[in-house]
Amino acid sequence: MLNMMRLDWLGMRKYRSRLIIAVITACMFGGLFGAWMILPYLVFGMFDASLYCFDAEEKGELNRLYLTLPISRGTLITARYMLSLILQGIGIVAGVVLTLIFSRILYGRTIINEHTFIPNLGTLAVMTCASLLICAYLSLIMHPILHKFGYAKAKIIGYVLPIVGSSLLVVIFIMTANRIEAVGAVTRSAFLWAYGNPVLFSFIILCVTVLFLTASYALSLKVYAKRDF
Amino acid sequence: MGNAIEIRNLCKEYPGFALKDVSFNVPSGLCCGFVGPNGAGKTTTLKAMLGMVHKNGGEIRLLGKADGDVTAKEDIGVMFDQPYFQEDWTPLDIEKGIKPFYRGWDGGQYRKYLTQFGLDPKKKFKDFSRGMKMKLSFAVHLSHGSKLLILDEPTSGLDPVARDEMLDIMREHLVEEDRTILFSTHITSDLERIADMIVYISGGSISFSGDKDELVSRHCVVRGGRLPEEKRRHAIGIREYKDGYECLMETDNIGGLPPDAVTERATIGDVVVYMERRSRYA
Repeated sequence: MLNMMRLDWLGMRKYRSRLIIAVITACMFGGLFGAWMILPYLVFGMFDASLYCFDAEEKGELNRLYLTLPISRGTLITARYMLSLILQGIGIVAGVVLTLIFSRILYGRTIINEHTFIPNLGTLAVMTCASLLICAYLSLIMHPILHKFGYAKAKIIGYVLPIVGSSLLVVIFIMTANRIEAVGAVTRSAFLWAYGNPVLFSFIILCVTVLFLTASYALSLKVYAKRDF
Repeated sequence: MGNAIEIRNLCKEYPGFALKDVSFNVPSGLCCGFVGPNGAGKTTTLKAMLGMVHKNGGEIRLLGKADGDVTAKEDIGVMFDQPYFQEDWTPLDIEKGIKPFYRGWDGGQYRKYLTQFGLDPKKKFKDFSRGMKMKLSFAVHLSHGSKLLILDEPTSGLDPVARDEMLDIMREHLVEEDRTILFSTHITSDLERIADMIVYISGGSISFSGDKDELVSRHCVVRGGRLPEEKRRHAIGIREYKDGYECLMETDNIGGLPPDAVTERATIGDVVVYMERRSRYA
C-alpha cells in the first residue's frame, strides 16, 4: 500500500505546487475574514489536492500501469484513501499552527466582517472535526463516482457539482436561518450547545465522519472492483 | 515443458461484440504471435488475462497461477501499444516509482538497459520518441526479471529500424530458459522473424492455435486462370479477377489443379488475409 501511495504521489507531482497555493489562499482568507477560516479551508484544500491523483491518472492513463503491477485493486483504493487522509492530516497541523499565528496577529483588529478570535483547545477540536466531516461528506459523494467513471467522464458530476452544490446548500441554509426565525433559533441554539460542549460535539462529528468515510471507502472498493479498463 | 499461459473457454460480452470460448495454451520458453484483424478480440483477451476487464466465464492461468492471484504479476511484464507513464517522469522517476513493487528489480540491469538503448535517465518521458518510449518500457519490464512478456502491438507505428531493434530485444529476452512472450501484432512479417507459434483470433473466436511452421506449411497461395468447380470448395478467401483468380488452399487439396495454376508458399500474412476474407465474404 505504501508503494502505491508513493506512486500516486509521484503521479501527481506536477500538481503539488497547488498545495502551496492552497496554503497561501487559506492565509489570505484568514487575514481577510478571520483566522477561524484557515483550518477548514486548509483541510479542504488538502482534500481537494488529493483528488489531483484522479486527474493525473487520467492524463497519463496510469490506470493501465497500476493494473499491471502486482497489487490488487483493493490496495489501490486503500492507498488512495490513505494518501487523502495524510494530506488532510497535514492540512490540520498546518491549519492549527496558522490559525494560532493569525489569531495572535489579528486579535483585536477589525477585519472585513468581524473581529478575530483566540482559539482554545475546544474550538480547535470542533473546527478540526468539522473540517474532516466536510471532507468525508465530499469523499462520500465524490470518490465512488470518480473511481467508477474516471476523472474525465465524471469531472462534472463527481467533482464540480458536489462542490458547487454543497456550497449552494450552505448559502441556502444561511439565508433560510436569517429569514425564518424558527430555523435561525434552532441553529443558534445548536451552535451554543456545540460551543458549550466541544468535546461531545467533536466526538459526534467524528463518529459521523468515520461513518461517511467507511461508506465512501466501501462504495469505492465495490465500484472499482467491477470497472473495466 | 509447462504452459506459461493457459486459457480455457474465456468469454467476455460487450454490446455488439463477444469473446466466445477462447482457449489456447502457450508453452514456456516460446514466443507466440497473437494475430487477427482489428476488433477480433486480441486486446480484450490480453486485458482479461491481466484482470483489466472482467470475464463472463472461463479460466485463465498465467505462470501456473490462477487469475486473481496478483503475485503472478511479479513475473509478468506488460506493454501496450504505448507505455503508460506520466509525461513528466524521467527514467529515474520511473525506477523510483516502479521498483518497490518488484522484489526481483535489478537497478544495475535497468541502468545497463538505459545505456544500451541510448536513453537519457534524466530526460522527461514526453520528450522521448515513440521508439524510445517503447525501449524504456522494455527496460522497465526486463529489469524486474519478467518470465512472461505480454505485448499488445509493441511494434506498431515504429519505423523499420526501431521495429528491428524491438525484435532484437525480444529475441535476446528469449535466450534465457523459460522466458515466454505473447505479442499481438498486425505486422505479420514480425511474426515470421520471431514467433514460434501463432494464435489466430477472428470475430472473438480462436481460428488457429499452434506451431507457426505448421500454419504456413499447411497452406499455399494458388493463382490461375479459372478454378474448376470441384476445387472451389477448397479455396479459402478466393479473389476473382476478369482473367483469373487467387486464393489460399490447404496443401493437401492442391492435387488436381489445372496446369495453369501456380502455387507458392503462403506467408503468415497470406493466411491471415485469406482466412479473414473467407469469414467476411462467406
